[in-house]
Amino acid sequence: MKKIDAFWVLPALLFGLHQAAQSLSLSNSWLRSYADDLLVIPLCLGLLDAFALRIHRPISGRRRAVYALIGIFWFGWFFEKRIPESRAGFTSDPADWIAYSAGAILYLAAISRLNPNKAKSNREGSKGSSLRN
Amino acid sequence: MNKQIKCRLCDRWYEAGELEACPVCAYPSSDPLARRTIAETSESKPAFSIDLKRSLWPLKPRDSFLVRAVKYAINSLFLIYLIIMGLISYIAVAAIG
Repeated sequence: MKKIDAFWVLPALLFGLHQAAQSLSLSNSWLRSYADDLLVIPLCLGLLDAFALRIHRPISGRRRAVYALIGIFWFGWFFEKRIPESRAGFTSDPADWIAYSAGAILYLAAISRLNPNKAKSNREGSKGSSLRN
Repeated sequence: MNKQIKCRLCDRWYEAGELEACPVCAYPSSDPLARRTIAETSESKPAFSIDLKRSLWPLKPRDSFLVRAVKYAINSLFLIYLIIMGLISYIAVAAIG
């Protein structure tokens, strides 16, 4: 298991724990409304990043940010507009957009710490400075 | 003729003027650390302007716009991302509805 796997395993575990808590009536209204929305983009992007690293095609930070934006618009449109219009069991909550965005921002902030390109450039930068000295 | 540069991340040659990022790994060519020009390397010039031999589904010069779009979606893993999002959406709707 690679370090990158934590980025999709953790959201999946939290998602499962929340589902279990819901079934045991241990969840509160805030978690019921926003926890799943907060975790869905990290789960999708985490799976994609893990797959990309496995086939040796890492995703750049800019492309990951674009994908996060696409994910926010997809889930926002699908779960807050498309599905509530056609199915009675679903309700639309504009605040869910904030939860999707917060999840994406948290994921991008967390994964940027693992960025090999950034680490490489930092190493080269420090090497350069040591050569100058 | 545009300058050939080599991606730092995946070692792929591509034209700097035509693309602002590596066509496969999307590492930006504007980043000075991302590029190595022919002058900086001892390697010979590539035979094709865009070397996509290592792509999942290589682009060809005669590909139509639609085929290029599909191939780019596969090479950039966007299609995989769409499948993941679609599956999660389907599971969520099936579980709740």
